Amino acid sequence: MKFSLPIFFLTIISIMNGCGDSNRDYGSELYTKHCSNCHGIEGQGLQDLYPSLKGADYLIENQKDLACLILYGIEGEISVNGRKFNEKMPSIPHLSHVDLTNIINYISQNIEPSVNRVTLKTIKNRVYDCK
Amino acid sequence: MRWILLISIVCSLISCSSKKKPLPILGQHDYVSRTEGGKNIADTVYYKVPDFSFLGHRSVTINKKTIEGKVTIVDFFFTTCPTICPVMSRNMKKISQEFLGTKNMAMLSFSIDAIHDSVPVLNKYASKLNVENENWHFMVCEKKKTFELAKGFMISAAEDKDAPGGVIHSGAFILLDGQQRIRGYYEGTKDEDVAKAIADIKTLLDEI
Repeated sequence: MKFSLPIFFLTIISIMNGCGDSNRDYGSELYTKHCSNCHGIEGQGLQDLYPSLKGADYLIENQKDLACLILYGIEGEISVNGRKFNEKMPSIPHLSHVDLTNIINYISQNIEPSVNRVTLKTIKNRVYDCK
Repeated sequence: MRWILLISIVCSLISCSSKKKPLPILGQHDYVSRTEGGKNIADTVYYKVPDFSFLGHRSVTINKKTIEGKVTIVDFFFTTCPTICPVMSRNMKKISQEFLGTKNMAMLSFSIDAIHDSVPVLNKYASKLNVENENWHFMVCEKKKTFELAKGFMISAAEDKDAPGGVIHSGAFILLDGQQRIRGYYEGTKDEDVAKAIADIKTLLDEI
């Protein structure tokens, strides 16, 4: 019984560590993996191939559809700040509601502040209404 | 006298350290022996990338003659690649801007998707990428020949149904000297490697 208190604390700490890294930025990781190749690590885009996300009117005006656009991709011509873009944006159908929430909030916080932050509940409803 | 000696040592050290280290010549070397003045001499024969003849995005044939005597940076890509190619193109563009107007430098981007990437498609891609460097060529040829050529550059490119876009390929940039010998490999998606490639191109340009 002499060592029971330290053992108790060690167990608690181990469980807390095992529950995940609280400093991990999932939004950043997901954006880097799925979005940054084309849109750039800072959302700067790539010339006339892939649009910038910074100050992008298309992004701001369609922010309610953003979860669906990320999930199902975009085909056909779109206009972003008066410039035409026509490259296919691939779908990422395996993204979860949590992933989508993290990506959109990452964009809101780090790339385009005019995109409103979203809750998981909002994203669930938006994805339900996608089709 | 002591001061003069010290200063001359420091000067010689500075001049030594500012000299650029020559880049290695990569690939399997062969040796050819010959006799000169009764002595046997072995000459090194360095590996050179194979011949190729591709159609460029400006509807002009691009082959080894196009890059003869030029420092050349090469990549393999395809326009619909959803993964690493946009990053590679972004970095190739960075290199192209760095050497805009440099006559002794060329850039080759081989498409590995002969079915989709026709000459007009490549032309449009170059145009959307706002390619200003006239020495940067986007090219296409039969798939089989392109995959064979990739082997000649000692990188991988092959069909893979499970890969995004149906093809797997290396993200390497390959640096050639004016004699089409391989002088360096760089990870085309990493900023630090791209910076190294730019520095090495400058080193090779100094060799010409």
